[in-house]
Amino acid sequence: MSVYHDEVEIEDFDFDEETEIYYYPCPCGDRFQITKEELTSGEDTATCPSCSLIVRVIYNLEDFAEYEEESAAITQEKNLAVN
Amino acid sequence: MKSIITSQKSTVKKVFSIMSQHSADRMDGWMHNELDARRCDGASCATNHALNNDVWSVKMSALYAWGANSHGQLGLGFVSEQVTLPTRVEDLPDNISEPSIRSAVGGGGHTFLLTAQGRLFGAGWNTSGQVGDGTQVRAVPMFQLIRGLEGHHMTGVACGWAHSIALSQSGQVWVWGSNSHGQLGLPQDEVPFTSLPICLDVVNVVSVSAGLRHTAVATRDGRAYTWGHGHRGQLGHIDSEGQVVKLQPTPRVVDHIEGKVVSVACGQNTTYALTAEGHVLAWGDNKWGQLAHDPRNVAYFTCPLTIPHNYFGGERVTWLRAGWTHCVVGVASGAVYVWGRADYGQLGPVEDDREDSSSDTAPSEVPQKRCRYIPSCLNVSKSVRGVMCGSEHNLAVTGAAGEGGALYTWGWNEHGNCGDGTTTNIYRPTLIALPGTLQVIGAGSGHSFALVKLT
Repeated sequence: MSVYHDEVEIEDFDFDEETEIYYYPCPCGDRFQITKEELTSGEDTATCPSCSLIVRVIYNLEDFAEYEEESAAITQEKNLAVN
Repeated sequence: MKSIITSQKSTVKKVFSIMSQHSADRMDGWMHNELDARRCDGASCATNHALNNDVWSVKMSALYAWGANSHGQLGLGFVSEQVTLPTRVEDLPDNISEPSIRSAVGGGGHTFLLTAQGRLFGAGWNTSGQVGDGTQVRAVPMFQLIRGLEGHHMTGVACGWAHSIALSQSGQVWVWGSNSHGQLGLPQDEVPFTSLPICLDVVNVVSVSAGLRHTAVATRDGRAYTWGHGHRGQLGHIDSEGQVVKLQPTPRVVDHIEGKVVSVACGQNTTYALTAEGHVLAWGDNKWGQLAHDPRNVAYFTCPLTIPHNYFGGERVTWLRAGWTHCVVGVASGAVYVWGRADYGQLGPVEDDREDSSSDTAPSEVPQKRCRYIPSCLNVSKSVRGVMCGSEHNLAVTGAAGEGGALYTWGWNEHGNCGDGTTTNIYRPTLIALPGTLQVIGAGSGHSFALVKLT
């Protein structure tokens, strides 16, 4: 297991709504990144595409699980409406 | 070329009157300045003698760059993962001559060169307009003149992660780049970002600095102002209910400062102020002991703390530089003190490190503690004239004043940040051979610069 460069709270990440990716600055000049999907599945390691450093994301899994349920419910409603 | 700002509302009237003036003058005024610049710096000086001197000196100085280059921040004309050896920046704009370069300053992925004529040139990551050339392209791989500062003599510049701040001789400041965390000191809904400098309503500024997402300045009357992102207390502001101010959208004076502030320096989420008496104040994040307090007792602090003077042998601190999570200061006697994060070699070896020279342990294998919160004297055999900090690496000029300077580097080296040709972290200041004598050193997050006078 690699050593984390840092631990960063999810509220300090920038969120790209289009790609649903969370970003945080890496000291190399690139950005640590992790997708909303990864967070929802319990993954908490954000990686930098340009270097070996990784950070642990501090977040509440339940916040993301709730989102998952909500979006699932919306999809279900949509499907019902379509049907 | 994308336009400058996405919205133009009324409350930043002053700003936009300046902006529109610049827009109106842009083609005409800018072209004239370009020609004037050429006249002064290079091709058509008044006498042959001056011309000869200039051409001679152009040949006799060289700018070298190395380290991370994923945004073209080295100004070499290309984007690459990294450049591990000092490489000459060959293609500089016509209106910049190497001997006139006075400083090189970098941010997350962008860089500025400041000349003796007060002109500013930028390169690198530009998705938020942080280079300041009026465009918002992904990367600017060659140095370009910053637009919108015509007629002003710039004397200082600082880079945050994705924003920039410049200081003029008259004490005015301009900001540009990302405003995603209020780091420009302008209302975010009106200026989400800008690719041209905007003049702020703060006057008589003498020092500027930028952290990851916050900005600090010192004014002639000895005050410090901060704005931007404040989650770790790096702004030094608390609200009426005593809570830390997490976002300060406009410049606000930092209260509870004892003494007259003469300069400011920002770490990742920490702010330092140096006073006229030579004392150091610090506030913000202390996860790595950046505030010179035990991180097990203090996670972060929202008010300026005076770093105990006896940590520096009771001496006056004369200069201060901050990496993301470590700090380097020089004191009156010439000694250099370091504290903060240490695990990539940021602090080098210290005098109290017990090392057995007969041991087989290579310097790079000397075990490093994760951080050292008590400032300790940097163990370097030569006298250190000055230091510049990257995010997790350092450059130092050594040698007595009047002597030719030599370059030493240490710290994080994954992208060749230290310029020794490897990507292995360097745990003690190491001499980097360059032709000639060192004139200027500079650093961005993961990249480095040196200007040498060839002899």
